[in-house]
Amino acid sequence: MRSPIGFSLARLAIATMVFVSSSAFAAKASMGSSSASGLDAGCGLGSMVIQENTKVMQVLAATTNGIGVQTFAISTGTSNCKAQNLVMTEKAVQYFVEVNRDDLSREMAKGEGEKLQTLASLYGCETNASRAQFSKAAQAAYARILPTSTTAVDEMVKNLNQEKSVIGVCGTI
Amino acid sequence: MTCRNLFLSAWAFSCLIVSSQVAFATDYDTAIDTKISEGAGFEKQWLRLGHWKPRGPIRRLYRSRYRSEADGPELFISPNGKNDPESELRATLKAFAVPLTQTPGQDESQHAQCLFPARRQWAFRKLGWEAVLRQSGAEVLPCEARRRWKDMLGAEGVSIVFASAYLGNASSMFGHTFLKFHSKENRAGRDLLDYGVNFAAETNGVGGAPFALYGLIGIFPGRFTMQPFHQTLRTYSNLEGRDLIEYRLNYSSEELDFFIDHLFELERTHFDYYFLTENCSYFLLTALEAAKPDIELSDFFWYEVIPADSVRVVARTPGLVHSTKYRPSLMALFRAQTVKLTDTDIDFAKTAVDLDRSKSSSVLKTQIASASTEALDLALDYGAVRATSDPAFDELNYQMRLERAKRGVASPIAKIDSPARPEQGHDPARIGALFELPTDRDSARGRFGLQIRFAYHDRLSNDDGYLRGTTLEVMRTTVLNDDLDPSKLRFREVTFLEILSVQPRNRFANPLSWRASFGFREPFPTRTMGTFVNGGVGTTIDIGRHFWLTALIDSEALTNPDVENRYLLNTGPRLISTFFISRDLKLGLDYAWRRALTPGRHSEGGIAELAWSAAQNFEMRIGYQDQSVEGIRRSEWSAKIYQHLLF
Repeated sequence: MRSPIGFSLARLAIATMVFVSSSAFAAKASMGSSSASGLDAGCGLGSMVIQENTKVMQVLAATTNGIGVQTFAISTGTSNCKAQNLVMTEKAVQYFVEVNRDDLSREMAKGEGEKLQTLASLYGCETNASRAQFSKAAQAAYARILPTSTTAVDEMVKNLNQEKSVIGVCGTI
Repeated sequence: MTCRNLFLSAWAFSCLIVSSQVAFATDYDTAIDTKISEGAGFEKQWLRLGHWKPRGPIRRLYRSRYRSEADGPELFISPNGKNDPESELRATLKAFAVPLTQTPGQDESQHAQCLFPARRQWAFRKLGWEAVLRQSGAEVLPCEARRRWKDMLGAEGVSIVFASAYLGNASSMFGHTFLKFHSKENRAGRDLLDYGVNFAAETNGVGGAPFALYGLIGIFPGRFTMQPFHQTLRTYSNLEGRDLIEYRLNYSSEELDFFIDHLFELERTHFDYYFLTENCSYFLLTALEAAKPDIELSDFFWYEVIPADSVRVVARTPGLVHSTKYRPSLMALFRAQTVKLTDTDIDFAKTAVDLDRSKSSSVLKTQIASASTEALDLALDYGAVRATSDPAFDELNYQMRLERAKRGVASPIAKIDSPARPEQGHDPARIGALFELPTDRDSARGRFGLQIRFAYHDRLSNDDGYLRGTTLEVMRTTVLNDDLDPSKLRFREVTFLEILSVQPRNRFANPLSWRASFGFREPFPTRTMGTFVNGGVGTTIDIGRHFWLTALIDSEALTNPDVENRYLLNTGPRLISTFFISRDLKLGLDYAWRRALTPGRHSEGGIAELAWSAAQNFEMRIGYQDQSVEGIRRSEWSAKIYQHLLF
């Protein structure tokens, strides 16, 4: 899980499965450590090369806390950031959606946008044409990816991963 | 071999090992002495790695010659490291040779070679130290964790990113700078996934006046931090509406590698953060310099570092900037959209986002279905710009998004042209020659004078690279000769700070306009300097895009030995208008009427000034000023020549 090789689709698929299956555990973990996790999640979301596994758990915990508070913590809480904090490839989608949830939702509604294109690239779309196709497909699936106004980030990612018409555009199923 | 022989030979062998280690250790120490005596402790790049700067001539007499700007102990191995680059070099080279077995936990990442990777690179390259280490029997560690981390970062380039000024927040008025690493993997339109490096004060929630004070006297620790660029972008571009300009730097892959290693060294320590001098821009420059010994960036600044100036210096350093890239803020994109939309579309967006209470949300929901796609797009973007956190709006916003998702992809909005970059505008400091000619030539003669302003912009200068129509001036001093005794020069004003923050109201927002200034000046009709502080709030309208009119309620407090009771409080309306005749030509009109609140006299005054920016840094103005204080009246013509500069 910690090797530095570049982004790979297989890894993403595995990571997604790991993430989805661990969400239930994480939801429990969040109850005890929400304030501490708020700080840790402030910067690297724990997906760091050098940090221990416990941090990753805290991050997952933080992700399930609901986006409103968490996004704010991310954008302002830099006190725990260290220069060695990199988002691991396995967490790239999760992290990206966490930070940009609202922009992504808006861009999906419009079927285009820079952040949505970046998300497409995280799902393996390497050309502008395939990213545009991914964006249009996400627009078509909008009501299923975001079924309510309060859909949390982990739900959103889970729903997206079930949309074969979207993530299948660039072969990530 | 007998037991005794075995024992003896073992003893002899161990003796040999010990003595050879001693011999190597002595050789190693001698090698250090040699390098020190050759002056390696004061080599240019070594001084940059420890952030040592020479002390001033006076302090040098009783303190050390050098002092490091790093304030945490983590950057130094020697107890005297902060003040003594030579002892730090000696301690570093010694620490490089310490066996891994003596490192805590035998963890190589805790070994000096891996804690100070840039120093090691420097020692290997400049002092040939790799050979010395190997000859002495010491290991050259692979520093595996660092190497993997750098592979993951995958940087192939670095940019300095300028976030434009934001008058909504005192610490951001002069802009902000941070760094961005370009990763190989993100070449093709994935640069949101690149990493940004920020140097910022850790304020831990301190705000208001203590925030300003602590920032001025260096209480906050400043640290280097790193986060994905899309996260940084959210803060600056979405929440604060600041345009970004990226200056990609020409760093070779070796220089870049060295720079990243050095950032790693700095990341563990802290620097006392001073808003004006040792700030975000300054430390980015000193870190960048450390990796490129042939450039001089930070020595340029001796009194204050304005982020926009640091970008100017970078842009003017020959061969340093590879290319630039403009990234409009969400606000800029939103504004560009509003230009060609109909009133119906705009009304819909405004009603929906501002949640007009007169229309129930059920009425709005029926309107959503019939709204045009353009109106929905506008409303969605307006909602994002406003970033309201009202649950009622979240639901409505979601309904609009659902509806919008059914409509397919719209034609993209026109591309926004890059505005002028800071280095394309005038320089921030200014010197001027003035001539004033009173209209009543019987009582007064013409006066000559000089004006010096340290920074930054006034509303009549060319706005390229600055916020249009605003004023932000620091330390403006005017000296004129005395009209009674022309051989004498007299100070007429020392203004420490003058701010005019204006933004015209539009169909979406009604931003507050305000002004403030304080310092020393001669209140008419006295001939003595006294303190003053004034300010006001109001609103601004634009008429036909070329004329801005600001109306304010303005107040002033001043102390002066020549006014009644030695002090005066007054208040009244002030009108400030600017005609943007062309890019280089502006006319400003300013009128204020003031009623005395304490015993004293009412006053009024007006200024008309025509400013022509004849060249990027050269400007000429003519003006007419009229002042009166209950019956005493004075008016005069003026001519000014300004030269802008960077110092």
